[in-house]
Amino acid sequence: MVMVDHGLPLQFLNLGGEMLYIIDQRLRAQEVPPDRAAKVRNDILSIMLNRRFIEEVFKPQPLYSRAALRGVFERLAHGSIMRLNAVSMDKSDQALVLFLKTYIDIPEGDLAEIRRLLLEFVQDLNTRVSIFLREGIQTAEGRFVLPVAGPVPPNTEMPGLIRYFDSAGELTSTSYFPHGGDFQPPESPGSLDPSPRPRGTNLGINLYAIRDGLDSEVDSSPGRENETPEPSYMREEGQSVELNLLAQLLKPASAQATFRLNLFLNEDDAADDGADDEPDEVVHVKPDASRAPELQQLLQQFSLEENQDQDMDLLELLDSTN
Amino acid sequence: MYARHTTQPLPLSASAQPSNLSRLSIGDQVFMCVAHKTQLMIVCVTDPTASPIIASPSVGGKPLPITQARWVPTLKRHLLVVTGRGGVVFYSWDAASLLKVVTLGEEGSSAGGEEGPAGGAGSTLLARGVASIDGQVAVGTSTGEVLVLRGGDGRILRPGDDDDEEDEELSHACDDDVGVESFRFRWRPYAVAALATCGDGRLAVGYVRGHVAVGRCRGNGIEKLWEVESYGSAVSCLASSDGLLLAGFLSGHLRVYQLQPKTFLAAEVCAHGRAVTGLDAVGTGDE
Repeated sequence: MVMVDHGLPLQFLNLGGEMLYIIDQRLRAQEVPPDRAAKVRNDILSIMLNRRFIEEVFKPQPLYSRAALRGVFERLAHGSIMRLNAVSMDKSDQALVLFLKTYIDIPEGDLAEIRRLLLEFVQDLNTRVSIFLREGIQTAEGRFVLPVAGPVPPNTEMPGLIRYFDSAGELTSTSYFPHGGDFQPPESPGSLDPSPRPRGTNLGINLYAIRDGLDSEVDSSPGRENETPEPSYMREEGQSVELNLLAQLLKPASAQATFRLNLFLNEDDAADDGADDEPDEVVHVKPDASRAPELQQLLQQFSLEENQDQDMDLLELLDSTN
Repeated sequence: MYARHTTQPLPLSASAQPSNLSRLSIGDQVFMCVAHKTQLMIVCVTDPTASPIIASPSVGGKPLPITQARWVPTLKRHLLVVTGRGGVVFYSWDAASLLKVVTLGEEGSSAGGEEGPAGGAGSTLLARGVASIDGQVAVGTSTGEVLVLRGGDGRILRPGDDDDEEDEELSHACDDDVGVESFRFRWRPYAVAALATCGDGRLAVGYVRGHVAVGRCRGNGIEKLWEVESYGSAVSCLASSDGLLLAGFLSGHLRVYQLQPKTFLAAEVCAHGRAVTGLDAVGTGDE
């Protein structure tokens, strides 16, 4: 099995996960009502994990190009009542790909080839992301800081030891050389089970949730105070809601009750080289909308009623894409 | 004993491929070759004023995603051999002349022979690992097959070769012969990670599952002499010098095998806290 054509699931699912973190952070930052924010998240997640779509993603095929991937995530992001302007979509695209670039510790063997594919995908991308700069993950030039000290990966021995063997395979002597590093024994391997801790890696965690202290699942038991808290997990809505949520995709944009979400409005402008102006027509949903008649009128136009009549059109659309 | 040359900035970033650095000495000039995605960079480290050479190999009209580029000595010259996803490209040593493009098939298909190893529908074959063997060029593939291709300068004859071919082979040296398949073999059904020349017609093969094997050319084929089972970590790079075979692994280990008179594991070094990504052995010249 040639691993060069099996990198797409990692590329798509990791990028999709990072996109959800970013959107979730912006929904909270812009104080979008919790029920609408939850609907946006659930809409996107349901589309992203749609059975047919996932089956297509897992078929052997080359990685998507950057342009093609942006198109997929743009449609994904707009598969809800949320709308992103071009500027926000550009920044989101750059940021989530940069988040993917931090996925550097992937188990060896066949996955090493997939890792090389993903590294090639993000090669020469040096867009600075403010949270990376603050956390010291990225330098001012946009280069990533790779830790050379700390625990070695699982199944790796700490450097320095040399073992000598004879022709019979017997260990005859050992010696040590100064490796000059600051290594520690490997930590216990992580688990794919979402319940237990530790995960064994910081990859895939929601940096925004940790920074904002929003994750309430931090284990404060003795000895675990310094562990990286687990991310918040999306609550499953169940398959019965999936089709209804997917039906939202077929609503014409003009008839669909939507709101615009500004990404990185106050977050990344300072870290970017050029300021991007937000269009004046963008609506910011505020809790106290009664003071703005126009906003009040728009809020009254919002509707959460699912359009059951679109189910058949959705299925026809899915069939046509296969 | 040690002299550092002037640092040469590369015009493009280096790809994160293992063994992504090849060295060639011609007279008092030293050249380095580094791959960047689908492009090659050749710089002369002993002449900072020389402009870097950029080459863009292609297979089937499409840029070749490079896995490895290496200078390989034949009987009379050096060839620049570039492996990648979908094919192998042969250049003159300075990339000035394109000599041959060998297209690999798809995984599982019935294609083979002149087209290279068999492949399969929808899954691109990948070539990685380049080494010289008796004046010819060995290239590893993701199916575990190793192709032995002609270098255009004839080849060293070994016991068992057909005597009638001797004069013809040694005198038949031209660019048209470059890249023509002599034979192929497969010891393991796992992707080849690295190849290394061990001298005296011997070739070492390292696999992504961690196995290492050594064989010797016999006529128009190769005989496996020795093999070691996997330690559980993938081989990432191989090098050989002074009768020793060095193998780097993704686990950070470096294992040293003695080749003569008996092949065995002589030493195991816990060399790095991360994967070994490159090896270069410069010995005394003794075998």
